[in-house]
Amino acid sequence: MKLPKEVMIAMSQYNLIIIGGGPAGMATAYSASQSGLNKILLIERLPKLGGILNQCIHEGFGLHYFKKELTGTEYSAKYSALLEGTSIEILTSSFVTGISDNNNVTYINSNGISTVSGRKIVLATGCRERTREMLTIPGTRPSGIYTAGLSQEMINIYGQLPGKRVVIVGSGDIGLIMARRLTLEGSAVIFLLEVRPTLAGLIRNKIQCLDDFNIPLLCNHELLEVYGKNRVSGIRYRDNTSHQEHYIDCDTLLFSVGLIPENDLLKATPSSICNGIRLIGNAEYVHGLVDEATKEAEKLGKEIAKELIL
Amino acid sequence: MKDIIIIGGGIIGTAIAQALCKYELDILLIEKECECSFGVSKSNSGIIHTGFQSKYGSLSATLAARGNQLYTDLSIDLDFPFRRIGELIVAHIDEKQQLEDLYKNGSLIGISEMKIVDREWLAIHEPNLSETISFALLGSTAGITNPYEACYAFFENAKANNVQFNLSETVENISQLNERWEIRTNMSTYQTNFVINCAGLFADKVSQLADIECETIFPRKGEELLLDRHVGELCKHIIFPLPKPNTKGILIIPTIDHTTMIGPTAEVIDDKEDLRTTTASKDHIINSIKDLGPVIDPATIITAFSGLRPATKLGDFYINEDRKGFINLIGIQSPGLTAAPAIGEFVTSIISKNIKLTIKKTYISKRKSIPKIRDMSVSAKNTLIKKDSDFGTIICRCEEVTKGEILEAIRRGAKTLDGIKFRTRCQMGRCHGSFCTMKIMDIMHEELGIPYNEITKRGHDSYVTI
Repeated sequence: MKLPKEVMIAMSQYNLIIIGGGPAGMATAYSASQSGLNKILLIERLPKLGGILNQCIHEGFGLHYFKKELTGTEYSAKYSALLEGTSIEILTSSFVTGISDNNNVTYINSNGISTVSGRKIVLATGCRERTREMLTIPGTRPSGIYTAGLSQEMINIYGQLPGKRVVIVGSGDIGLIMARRLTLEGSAVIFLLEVRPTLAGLIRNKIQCLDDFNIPLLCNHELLEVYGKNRVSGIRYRDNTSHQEHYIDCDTLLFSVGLIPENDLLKATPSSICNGIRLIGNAEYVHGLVDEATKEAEKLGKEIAKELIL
Repeated sequence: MKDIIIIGGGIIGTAIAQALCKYELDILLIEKECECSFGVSKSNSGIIHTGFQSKYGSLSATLAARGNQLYTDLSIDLDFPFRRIGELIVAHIDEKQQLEDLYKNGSLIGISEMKIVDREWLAIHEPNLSETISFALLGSTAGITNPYEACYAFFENAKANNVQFNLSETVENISQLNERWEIRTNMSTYQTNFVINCAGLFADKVSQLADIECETIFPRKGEELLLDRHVGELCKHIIFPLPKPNTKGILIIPTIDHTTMIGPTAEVIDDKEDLRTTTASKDHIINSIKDLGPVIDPATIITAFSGLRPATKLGDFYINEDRKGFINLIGIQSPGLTAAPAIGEFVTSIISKNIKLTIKKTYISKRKSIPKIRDMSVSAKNTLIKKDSDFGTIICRCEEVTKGEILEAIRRGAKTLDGIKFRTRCQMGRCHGSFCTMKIMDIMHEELGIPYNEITKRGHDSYVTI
């Protein structure tokens, strides 16, 4: 029987394949390599390693791991420099489309479709933000509604301003960071609406990003409806303590209402091999600090190396 | 001097343009939005109905039944997705008579492949349906398509055959000059032998501009919910409850992209631009679906959206040459997508009574769709990527859309984020564009040569950045 061409090509075998080149993926690869494991492949969808760190130009990273206060971009650069000179194979601009039987990992990049096989597979695919649609907030669906992370990418990577009069929904850390960032860029951040009675993010972020800039955080406040035909024109919200409803004009609505581990690859993976795949970093659970994700990933890398080198 | 001016670039306007483009005619289509399908058509559910829910003898029944038949060849020639998955109108034990009435209605219309199925059949073929559903009318000719892709397929084919499309242009006045019509827009003035008014929600206003009385359009809002891809297809067929006078009810719709959509509601409103979604509608949809069987976890809803049906009190399509050279199409709501190709034929037959139609020697009958990397075989993917490496660069990770597909959409006329989304599914997945919006804008910026802050979501002042 003649096999199709793509099946006849000898498949590359790896000891360890890590999907996702953010801090957790880099750390898993690095520590496994430092523990003596060879044939490690790190696959990253973007052109550069570092993941979401690359759009975090604020400080607050690395205090535990590098014993030094760094920006996200510095942390990313410092950690990816560790990978240089190791035998880790790094594939950037490559997107994993599926994991199948026999631990085969298929990815797509500008060279075409390739399949590689790994004795161990680690998913370090980070997390994604909850969106307005997921909360099914009623109202219109105009332009000007973004997740806090998208607004961060707009400003820090592309130098574009999402809007001038901004309301932030939720009080997650990215929302707090973006309240300050937008203020520094000249936008007016009217307030943050938090449906719960207390802050969702870190206290230090509230002090440095809201209090220092006199940006109000309204707890027990709920977004009720979005207005605006083409671009956001305002919102209706309710103070759940007094039960009073209010309307305010704004042109931008940013959502910082929680992060969800991004492990969707597993949902399409045969259950027979799902159990063998390890999740790490924010793909496992959402971490408060990158330093913690790095430490856990280094621990995992070490464990895997130990297991495989036996 | 034009032979024909079509007002409105939704599914009906583009289908008419596509039907007429094979003839030696000078045709101009004027659309007020910046891209086709941005009005009523953009919220269409994508169902190609059998036609049996429309009353025998009505224009909508005749045209829907005919349109349904035309979709097989059209979807092949113009390369847009279409699958005949069948529909089931479900009924409880005491409602069988209503199914039999519908069956009779369908037979009179001339619809084939209908049968009434029982609980046993349903248990095997639709295990997710409630056990309280005892019977269903199966219409095997019903299908699903992607309404935007159908619209853009018509648009592209008509354009390839020299139909001129003037987008972002609004008709302001229409007057009769001897045997001709003069149309003044915000951009220019045109003269034409024929006017075809298929302006959807605003068709009554356009008719008034020409001083022709017509039925008033009362917008009827329909809200729908889209479920996460991981929910998969809740049912194999399109599931309908028994129809009510004004609506086909809340449905379970397997989409062409293997996701599930539920809805729509039916609410008469005054404002032709009111596209708000509400919590009440969401709850109503979820509760109605529960009556059919499936329990929807609200966490799996990835979006809610609404659209407006251009309904009239007539309760049927109205298509007529109301004045010499002026064809009105009023109240083309559901099953408008189904009927669209037949409406194209019908309008062609009206035109042919006035103008001798000759087929163009240069007529191009085929159109190829934008390649969809995700749905291709490995070898087809490799061949395409070898030819153009942009098809190997994933931009939208949720729906696995590549840079090559986005560039192709832009080259075919997409100039807004929604235009790209409707053509490629980019941003349509669970992250709602939080990962890909800027990457798409970067490609638009480069390809169209426009600054970021001139890029819009859907035209007008829907700017993304400032």
